[in-house]
Amino acid sequence: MKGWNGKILWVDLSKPESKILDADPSLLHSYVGGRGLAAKLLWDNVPPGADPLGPENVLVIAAGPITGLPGPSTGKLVVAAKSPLTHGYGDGNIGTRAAVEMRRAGLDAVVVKGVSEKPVYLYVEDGKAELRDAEHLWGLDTFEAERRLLEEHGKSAGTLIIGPAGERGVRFATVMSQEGRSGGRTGIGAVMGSKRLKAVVFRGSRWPETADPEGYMRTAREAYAELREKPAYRFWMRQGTMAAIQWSQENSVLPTRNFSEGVFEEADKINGFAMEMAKVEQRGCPNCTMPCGNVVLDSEGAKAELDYENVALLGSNLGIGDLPTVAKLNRLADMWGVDTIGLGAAIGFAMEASEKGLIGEKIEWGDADAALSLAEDIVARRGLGEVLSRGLAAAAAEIGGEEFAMHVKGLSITGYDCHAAPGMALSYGVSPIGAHHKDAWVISWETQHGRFEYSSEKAAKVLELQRIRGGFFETLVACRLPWVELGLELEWYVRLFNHATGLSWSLSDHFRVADRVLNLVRAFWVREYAAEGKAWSRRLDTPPRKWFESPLTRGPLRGARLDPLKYDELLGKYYGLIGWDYRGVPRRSTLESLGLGFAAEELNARVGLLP
Amino acid sequence: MIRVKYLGFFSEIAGGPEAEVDLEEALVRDVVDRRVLEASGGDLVVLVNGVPASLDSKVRSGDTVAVLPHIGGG
Repeated sequence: MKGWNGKILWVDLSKPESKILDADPSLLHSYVGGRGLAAKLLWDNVPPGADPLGPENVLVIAAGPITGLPGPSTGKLVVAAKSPLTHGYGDGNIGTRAAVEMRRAGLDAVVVKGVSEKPVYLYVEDGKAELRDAEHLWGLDTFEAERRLLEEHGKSAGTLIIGPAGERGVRFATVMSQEGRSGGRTGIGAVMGSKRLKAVVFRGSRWPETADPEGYMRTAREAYAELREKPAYRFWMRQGTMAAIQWSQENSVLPTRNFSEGVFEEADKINGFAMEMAKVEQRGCPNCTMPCGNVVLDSEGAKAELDYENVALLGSNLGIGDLPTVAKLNRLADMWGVDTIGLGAAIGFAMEASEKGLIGEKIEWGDADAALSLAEDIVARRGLGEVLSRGLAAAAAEIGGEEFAMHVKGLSITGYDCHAAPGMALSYGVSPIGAHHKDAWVISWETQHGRFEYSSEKAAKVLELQRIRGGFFETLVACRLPWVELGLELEWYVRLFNHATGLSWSLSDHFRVADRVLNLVRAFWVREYAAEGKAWSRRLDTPPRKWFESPLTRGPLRGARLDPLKYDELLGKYYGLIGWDYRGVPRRSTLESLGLGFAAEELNARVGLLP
Repeated sequence: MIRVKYLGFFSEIAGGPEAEVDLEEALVRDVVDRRVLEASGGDLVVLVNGVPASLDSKVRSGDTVAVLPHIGGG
């Protein structure tokens, strides 16, 4: 087996024990890596209906056959589990040295179940794994915990760490690395915390074997060279994803005041140009030559790594137009190990609830001190913060405001307002993890192709993007940004994959894997809902009522809102294309055609499948 | 006067984030910098006064055209 290491580390924290086993080659060929591997390992190993914060839930850390090897932005891995936020499939990707070191340590994936009696961290070095005491790290923020781990294990070690948010069970706690790399906003940090697993540290000294080392290195060099020649490269290096603030403002999609508006009157103060004036450093993931981590000094003079999503959700979405203040909120979220997007969404929801008199606390739009205080309460899980720490769906169930709780399936919406973007609303609706832009960021395309239409073409575009972004890149595992932001052709990655593995796949072979993964992920959701006694319906794939009921009141597109009947038709078109029934449940024929007969049998027994 | 805003890397190609074109009436494609049209192959996002439009949309003096590159949104 080439490209892959062919090894998976299995850890049971309850016993405790760990063992490294050979991975079944057919598992790797069918699911490739990353999200694909995670979806299959979760399907096989999480007992249906398991408590996401209990010992039965499983944490998966998964790489792919080109992860860590040289090549544009290949230093990423996927963390996954049954989500404590959504109770469905949850994952996230992180660009980190841990991706490289895990592969150099001889692994493709790590599977962790059980609960440790006391805080531990998992240390893996060159095919050996051990659990080490983490009492001295428990309670530390992610920056300090990482500093101590690197002191102990050397600066080249790769780390995945949780902070106080994960330890305390904040349901949108993330996994952090390298003071700004964050992943798993579906609450994977809380899953680690529930297992008393403070960190995972990898060190390795051996590269995975590739089938054609010379061809691989030549292709990687050529791909890097081509990337640098792309016309957008220079500007990307200036602003990275922060350029999207201005882009979204112009397009009336910049989330503003809890997704009430798409334009923010102080956008100029928090956009890419404002960031450029303040930039002190630029950070990137391993193997990346287009680093997107733009670092500024926050209002306390500390370094904070910004990107579009952080600034949109902690800035305009809260009515805060001061970049250093936004940067401070962002840095603290990273230190606490809590999702910056989820934190911004929770505070925005509270601000609107306050405005509408649903809560006694006075938290006004733009009040940075109140936002900071509430953020501290969320992570400490006290008062209103405790309610919000359980996520927007749970919070709305307790205090009301369901119509403006901006989430899909429990996961808060990321940085794009969709009053005037039905395709992007669909992307959020059918994202594999709940509302997230990772899989299908269709808004740029739809702005150019019938912005206000609910067409079959638009549904097809969402699915096409899901295959590329959520399937191809999430299984390889590599970052999508060289392709999507600078236009590096997908074929480069197909070639790298083939050089690494010795296989002769085409892009359509990868898309078949993508379809398999998207369907297995959906099957996991339906299975978990059924096992927990909750009804599955297409309503779950529908964004919140605000976008349908409360039109934009500002900007050039004022008056715009989504049409509920047309959205439902668009959803039906998507279901037809992917092979799901009227409920959004995969059809038996769809599952069987993708080699998912095992899932068809189980789902049929639980919810009854249509042919 | 028609105002043209260039976003993202288009601002570098056009030599600045904004330009003014002294015409009473024109098509968008006639007021957008040639180099931007060439670099993008015409595959770009056009807004006129903030409303989705195309290179073939008509504009008048007083209008603002925004030309945006496709981005991936992180």
